[in-house]
Amino acid sequence: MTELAIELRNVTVTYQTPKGEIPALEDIQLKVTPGEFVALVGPSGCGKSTILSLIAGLFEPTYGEVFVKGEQSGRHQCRIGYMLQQDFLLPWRTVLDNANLGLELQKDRGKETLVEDLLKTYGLEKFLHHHPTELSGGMRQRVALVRTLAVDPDIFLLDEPFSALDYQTRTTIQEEVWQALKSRRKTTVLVTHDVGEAVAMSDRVIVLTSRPAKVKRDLTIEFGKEHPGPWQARKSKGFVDYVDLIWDELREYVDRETPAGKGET
Amino acid sequence: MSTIPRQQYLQKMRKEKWLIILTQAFILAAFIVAWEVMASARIIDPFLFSRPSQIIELLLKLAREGELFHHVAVTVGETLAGFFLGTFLGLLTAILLWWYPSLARLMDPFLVVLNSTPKIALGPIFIVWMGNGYGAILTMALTISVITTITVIYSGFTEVPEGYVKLIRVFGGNRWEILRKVILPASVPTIIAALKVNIGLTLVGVIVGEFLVSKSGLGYLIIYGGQVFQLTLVIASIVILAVVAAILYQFVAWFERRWISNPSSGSARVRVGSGG
Ligand SMILES: Nc1ncnc2c1ncn2[C@@H]1O[C@H](COP(=O)(O)OP(=O)(O)OP(=O)(O)O)[C@@H](O)[C@H]1O
Ligand SMILES: [Mg+2]
Repeated sequence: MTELAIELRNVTVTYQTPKGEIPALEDIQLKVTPGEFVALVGPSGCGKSTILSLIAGLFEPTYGEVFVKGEQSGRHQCRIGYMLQQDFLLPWRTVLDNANLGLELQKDRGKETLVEDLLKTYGLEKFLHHHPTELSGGMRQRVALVRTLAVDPDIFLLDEPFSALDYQTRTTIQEEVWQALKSRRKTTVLVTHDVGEAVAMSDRVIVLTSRPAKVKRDLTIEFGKEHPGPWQARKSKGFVDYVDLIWDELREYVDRETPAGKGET
Repeated sequence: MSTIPRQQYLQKMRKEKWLIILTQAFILAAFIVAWEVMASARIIDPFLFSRPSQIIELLLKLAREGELFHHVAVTVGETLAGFFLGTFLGLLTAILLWWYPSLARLMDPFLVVLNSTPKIALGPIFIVWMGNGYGAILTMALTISVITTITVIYSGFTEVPEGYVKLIRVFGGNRWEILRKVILPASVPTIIAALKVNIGLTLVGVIVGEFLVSKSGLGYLIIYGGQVFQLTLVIASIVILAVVAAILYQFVAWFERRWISNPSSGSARVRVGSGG
């Protein structure tokens, strides 16, 4: 049996605040094999970002255990690239310096040209020396994406990375990011509100219940033997069925919120 | 190549700027002339209110005798020493408080009490402890400025959005890197604001110290002039003090312009774009 890239065993998280307890996760089981692309979907506020923060080792679960490449998370050696839900670009740094932050902190020198190339790929070549306040929401998100891609980690955690992009840009970047991650056999966990995006990009979609999150459905996505990439996947026969299936799972939460993306799939 | 509306806009800005400067100069000149005229017409008593011509005369005389420069130098020297020491100690303490949050919680009530105590009241104690000299003056200036510096800068540190800290941790950065890459740069505007307040507070401390020690400096000239009923000397010293304060303030403002070369960095420091 191959070593798992990520494993959550009976993970429960309860946030303690002065006002009271907030149960966020309840007895979550999750196994991600190396090179796998897994999407997490669920009603908003259910605990998706909490799962990513646990894997990144930012804090420990209240109960249960989190393993990254067989090591307890937080003490793991392998690199994790975590793209946070908000971009948190440092306003006093230029676009280029922001994109370089990850490399800088990981003491990875000599990759500056890589960052510039990435920024160019994502259409930011005219803004290298601008400050984040001069960028649109979508451009900011692309800078944050480059910042994460540049450190070239083994495991990617992406928290709604494409949400601020317009539909056309989003489709293009989904394809590019997917190609980049798959060709280098990166393990990826993607959090998204967009059911179509989840189905098009992933090998597996995990549907979570509302808070406290439990695993409601673990659905393997297959479009033939090899995953054809998001662009082809959208045109594949089974695509709509998968989307409807997941949509049915989420339907009971619709009263409380309308996940974005349904209209765009 | 600028467009015509752009040129018109720039011209309007220039015109407005000059109009303001001219009006300001006019107000100052009118004030001085009115003062002089009223004093010579005996509407106000020149013995109590002095008059601009006498003040200038006295300043020239003091300058010729070299005494003026001595007193100005003493006050400026003490102020600069107090300012740099106060800023350094204040910044260092604020960093310590940030580094050890439990220390900050522990110190909080003490800082609040110290901050609202009139530190000037401690002056006589410092003279007894440090002797009647520069030591007491510097301690006075430091006591007044340092507590405020600590409070202002530390609260600036705590207002830095938590997400920036999370970002550094996500990339494996340690506490030292959080301080260097996020906390300090995000607090630059707060630190500058603290420096500006600090200049004023240090001057207050130095002048009060010189009142008490009464040996040299502008504070000494003021208290001496008052005691011998030479109001011209008092007002002349205050004028110089105002000039010194303005120059020191400009020095911080110049520093600010150099440090924050990008104008967007200050005002926008807490804007966090939602990537989602
Ligand atoms: N640091 C915290 N302290 C207290 N409660 C928290 C904290 N972080 C998250 N929560 C709560 O835990 C729950 C889950 O939060 P989380 O951010 O993981 O949800 P999410 O699924 O990512 O939401 P969204 O879809 O809005 O991004 C929320 O109800 C939130 O209020
Ligand atoms: Mg979230």
